[in-house]
Amino acid sequence: MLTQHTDKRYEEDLKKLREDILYMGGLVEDQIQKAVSSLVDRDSNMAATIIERDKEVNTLDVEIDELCIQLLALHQPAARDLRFITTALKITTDLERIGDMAVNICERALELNAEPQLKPYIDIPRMARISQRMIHESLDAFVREDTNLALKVCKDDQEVDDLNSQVFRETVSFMIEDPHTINRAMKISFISKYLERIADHATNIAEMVVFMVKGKSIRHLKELPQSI
Amino acid sequence: MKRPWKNRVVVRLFLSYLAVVLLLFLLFYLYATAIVKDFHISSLSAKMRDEAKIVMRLLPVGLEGAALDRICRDLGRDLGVRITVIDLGGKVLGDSDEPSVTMENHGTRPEVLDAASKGGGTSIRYSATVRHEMLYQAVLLREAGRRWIVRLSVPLDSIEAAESSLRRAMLAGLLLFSAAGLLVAFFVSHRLEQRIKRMLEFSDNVARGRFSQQPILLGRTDELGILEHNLHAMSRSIQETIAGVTAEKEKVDSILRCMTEGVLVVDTRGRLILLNENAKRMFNLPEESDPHGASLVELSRHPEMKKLLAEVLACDCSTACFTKDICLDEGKWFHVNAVTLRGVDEKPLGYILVLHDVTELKRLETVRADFVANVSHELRTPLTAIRGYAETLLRSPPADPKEAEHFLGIIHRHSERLGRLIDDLLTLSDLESGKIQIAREKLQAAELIGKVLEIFQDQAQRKDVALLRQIEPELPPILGDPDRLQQLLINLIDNALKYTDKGSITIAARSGGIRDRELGIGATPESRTPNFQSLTPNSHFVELSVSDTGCGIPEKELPRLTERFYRVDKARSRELGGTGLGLAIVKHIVQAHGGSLAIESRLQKGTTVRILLPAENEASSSSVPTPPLDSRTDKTVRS
Repeated sequence: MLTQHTDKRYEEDLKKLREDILYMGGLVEDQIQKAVSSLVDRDSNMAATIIERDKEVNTLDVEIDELCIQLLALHQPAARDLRFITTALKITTDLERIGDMAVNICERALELNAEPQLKPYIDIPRMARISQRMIHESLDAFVREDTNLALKVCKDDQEVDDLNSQVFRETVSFMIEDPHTINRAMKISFISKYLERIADHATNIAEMVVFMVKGKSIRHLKELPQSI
Repeated sequence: MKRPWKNRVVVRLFLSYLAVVLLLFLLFYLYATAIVKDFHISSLSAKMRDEAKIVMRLLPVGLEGAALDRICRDLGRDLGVRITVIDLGGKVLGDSDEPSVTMENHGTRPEVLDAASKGGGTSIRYSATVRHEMLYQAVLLREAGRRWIVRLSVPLDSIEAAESSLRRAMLAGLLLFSAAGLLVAFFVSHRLEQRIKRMLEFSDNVARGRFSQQPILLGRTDELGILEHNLHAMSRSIQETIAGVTAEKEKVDSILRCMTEGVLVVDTRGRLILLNENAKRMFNLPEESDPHGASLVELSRHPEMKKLLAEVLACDCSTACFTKDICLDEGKWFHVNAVTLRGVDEKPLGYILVLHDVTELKRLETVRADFVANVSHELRTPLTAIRGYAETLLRSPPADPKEAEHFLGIIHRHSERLGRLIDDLLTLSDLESGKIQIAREKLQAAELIGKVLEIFQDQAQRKDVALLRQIEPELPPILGDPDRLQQLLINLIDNALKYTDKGSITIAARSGGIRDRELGIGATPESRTPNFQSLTPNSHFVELSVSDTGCGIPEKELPRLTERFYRVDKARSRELGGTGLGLAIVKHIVQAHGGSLAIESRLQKGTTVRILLPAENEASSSSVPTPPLDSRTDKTVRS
């Protein structure tokens, strides 16, 4: 992994950065999972807890930012470490956005729980599972510098996109059948959109990992390369 | 291994030999030549002194100048020397080589001065006259009125010629000797080098951990030999120590590996020092990965894990054991015990965390809690009704006897339900405790199914549900308890009827089967079918199945279906009059028979319950049942 540095303090700080990012990833993964289960199990208490816990994600975001800037200022890292730290800076922004999305899901869940359930949720937990796995794998790719895993994450994004349009079609059909369901169907559609955005953020992380390792940008390409 | 020649001990040794030999050789050579030269010169000068005395006597008195020169020349030629005659004043009276008149005063020459004062003198000088290094020998003659000094001189060339030949001979001899000596030295040092090299290789191998069983060739018992011996002994003792340590480590490793608990050891900052195989499995790490030095956060990023670590690090686990239950991904529950790891000096080195997977326990806990809640609820529901109507009857008996009869009917119905519930509970508890003896009678499936279907005929007709039978011909007889199996089928068909509003219920029996897990519950029919297709027709099992076209059961409910009082749709099933114990009883009857149960279901399509029951072995139909069945029976009865 990281090469040995003579400076013990620097070494420790880099390690801490790595751990903090992983922890933040774990935290937002948990946020998503709990957010979706608060929707599926109609558990408003849990939704409230999740919204409260977003503060921890925000604090972590600030802390990691500060740690990165401190590392850059004090040690003027070069090459690999520089790329690692700058990527970490960008990753936290994405993770923080994912945390916000989880909060949005909870807010919609709170509203939906106040009304009767429109339909059993089948695709939404599936989307949550996939995007959760994508976050997990993109961070795995980040710490292991594994571009193949990162590419896999980018490819998995399609699955979530497909599920999103499926949910959209479904909710639209509900709305056409019965205008009374529009309110709830819209919210379900929102939640699906949030999850789709989460998967996009995970893809962003994976793309940055590829850039970090290979120095090659695969962002904004029409088609993903088969291998790097 | 090749090392620079300068660094080889033997080369250094050899070079110092060489230096010493050369130095000695040089010294000896210089000394010897000096001595030989001295000897030559002294013997020559002694001879010349004698010759000078003779020459003096031969020279006539009173002559000088050219005449004396002539005599001197003759004598000098005979003796092979130069003769000079000088008077005490230094004036040259005659000379064999040069005309004496022209010669300068010789009174200042050292040999002449010596001769004048002491009677004789020797000197080696460079002669300007003849341009040569010369040996001069002067003698004073003081007799018969002659006061002359006769000086003989010879060039040193002759001595030098003799000397150089001697020098050459000596040089050749010495070179020969030292060459021979060095050759011997070379061989000796070469042998020495061989032994040192062997020891070097040996120690190098030991250092790299390659222990050869072959000892170093033990040479003579000199110091090197002792060194060789010691090296060998040392390597053996190291080998033994390593073997001991390795065995000890392997023992500890295998203990850790075989533990059912996950063991994590972290240092005081929460970095991993060690984790066993089971812990790797718990965190879904690849078997061969070595996360040594990684933080716990890297094992599982679940926020619970960080909280746990913070708590462990914060607590003083030295006195009491830290205990906590945590829930990680996928609903896995772990019971964590932590203690402080202390070194020999009692300083804390880190923490040992032992993780027990208590997911199953937690599940059972839920089941038990649910059971108690359910059983009290189920018992209370009819009791409330009975009490309510009984109180009404007591306090304000209705005037209309019809109404009273209606009330009594309700009381009767509920008390019957209560009775049924208690009967079911008792049956279940008997089955669970193994108190019930399961008979092993030969039963024909067709007969059994026929009997049960008769009971449901009316009920099915009322609901407009067709009861269908599919019984394979020539089925081997089932070995089982007729009453229990009848109860089993009744429960299953009763369930099927309850949840089927239209369509049909099919009861099938066919031979063959698989020994599934104790309780195989399939999620979807697709995943199960291959297993059933792979049956061999003469397996000693009969498969009974009850399929309906009812409302079906959601996939996630399937695993809990056979729990006591578990209901998928709580309101509906109670309304249909079930006790919630039917499937639990079925499961236990099947288990008591040594069979297995599988439930497949699709929402709105229907449910199929398959049961495998042991059948009589066709091949040995007259003899005792096959051993596996037999042992199975024993086990069931005993338990």
